[in-house]
Amino acid sequence: MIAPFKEIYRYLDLPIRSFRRLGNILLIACHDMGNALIMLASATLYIRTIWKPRARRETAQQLYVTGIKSLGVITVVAFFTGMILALQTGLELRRFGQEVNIGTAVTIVMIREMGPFMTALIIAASVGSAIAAQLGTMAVSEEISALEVMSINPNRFLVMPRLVALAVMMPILTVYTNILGILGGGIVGSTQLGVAFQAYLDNATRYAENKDLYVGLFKAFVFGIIIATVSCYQGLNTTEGAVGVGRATRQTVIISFLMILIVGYMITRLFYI
Amino acid sequence: MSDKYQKDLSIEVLVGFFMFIILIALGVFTIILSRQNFLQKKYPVAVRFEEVSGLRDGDNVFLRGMKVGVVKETVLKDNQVVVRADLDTPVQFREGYKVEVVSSSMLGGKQLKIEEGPANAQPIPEGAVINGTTPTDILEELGSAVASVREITDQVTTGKGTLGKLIYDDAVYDNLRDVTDKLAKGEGTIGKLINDDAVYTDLKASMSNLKEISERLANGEGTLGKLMSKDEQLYKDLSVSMANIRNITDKVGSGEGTLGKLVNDDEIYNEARKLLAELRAAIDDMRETSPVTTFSTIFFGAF
Repeated sequence: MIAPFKEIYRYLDLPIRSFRRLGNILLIACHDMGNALIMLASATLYIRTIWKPRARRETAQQLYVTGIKSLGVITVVAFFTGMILALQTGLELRRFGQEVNIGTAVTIVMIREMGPFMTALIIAASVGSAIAAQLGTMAVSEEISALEVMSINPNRFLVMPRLVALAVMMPILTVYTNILGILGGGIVGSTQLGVAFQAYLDNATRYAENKDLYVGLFKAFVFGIIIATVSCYQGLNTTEGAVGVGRATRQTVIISFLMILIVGYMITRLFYI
Repeated sequence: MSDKYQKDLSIEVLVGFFMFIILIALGVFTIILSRQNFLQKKYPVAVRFEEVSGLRDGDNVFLRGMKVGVVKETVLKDNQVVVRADLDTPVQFREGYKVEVVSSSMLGGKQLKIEEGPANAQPIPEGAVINGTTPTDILEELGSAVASVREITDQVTTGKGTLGKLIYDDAVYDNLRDVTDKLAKGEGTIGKLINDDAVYTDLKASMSNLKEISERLANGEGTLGKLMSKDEQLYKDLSVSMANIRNITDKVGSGEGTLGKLVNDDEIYNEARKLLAELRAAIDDMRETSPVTTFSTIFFGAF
């Protein structure tokens, strides 16, 4: 190569390599996203088979794991989320003698945002990671391949019940979180801020609307689909043995959290602006 | 029935029960947030406004500080806003009624406030159009207040008006300076008041005297002090004296005793007049006979 061109190439080497790496990341992201969406579409199509005994049993099992088994941690988190919200907003509102309005603040924040958001974080961290680990272990031990050999579609047998369970249970758990969060706020209001519980409840229902509640539940439904898709995809595509299972679990939690935040913002913007 | 089937069944029942409970909670939540009691009878009312300042569906309706319903809908109609509300209790509007949109708190939010009119006023017939009062826009009011203040400050800045002259006219300053100079020199009454110690001394002496007098009064010394003393002895003495005087005057009035008879009995008066007449006649007689008496005295005195 002629010397001047060699020099120019040396200077451009780092940007070119960075650009190439970025392109690779984007390609992988698009590839993964496309595959995940195809998996989601396939699993959605198999929902029609949900009433078959085996699928129904598996779905009930997943509903149980997602819903009932998560109640303990969700109870504590929801209660304390409401209490923290009430305390923080109440202390600020007290400056203006408006602490009676904590009912409004806690209810609106809980049903619009914190209810679905906190539930999604808990489910992504507990159920989503568990799904990724379970399917990842199955993948590295070639159980998935065995299913395919037996002409059992993993999307029907493994993904669909989990997708249904998360999509159904997330709004249900969000209602539970909302109720407990509002109650927690009321307890803090009556014990710490001198707001009578009845006044708190009157205020809580004064400005919140059904739209707030149902947009929140819609968010929870979308979060459920995101968690199911991410965790199942990461699990089914696990490679490299135990290390891969750990990586898939970690990736599931990270990607789910990011997607929950980004999609949550988009849904809020879609319905409120 | 196998154990596995029983386990699956119990899981399905548990999941179904949980979902059932949460769906009921969701239904209750929905009804509460819709702020509608489906079992309670509603009394619809429509009010026309020029504008409603952001009143929304679901906002509360208050009558005499009590929540009596909610706003059902707000509709633009014939260049006006028709607010339809569902009331829990029937409201009889009377002449002089007032319906207005007010802020529900400092943080925002609106509510409909109803005053149904004086109790003795003529009732508004059912179905008549109810007109609401156009709400006051606080921000607009604040804006006009700021504009007024700005106008005043502009006038003051340009030296117009008393305040403007006070600030910008040097003549005011000169006069003020002249006055303070005179005060400092002790000229004039106020100047003397400020500078001359004699006034202070006199005032101090006066205050001292006043203090002494008030102390004596407080201690019940002197006539006024005794009058004001707490033991009320003087009052009691005076009261007894007044009772005695009243007793005496009553007796005099009723003609009892010498003085009473003197005052009331005409006979004494007549006797006195008669005595005086006789006395006068006797004196006249003496006057007439005095030369004879004198002569007789001188004449017979020689013997």
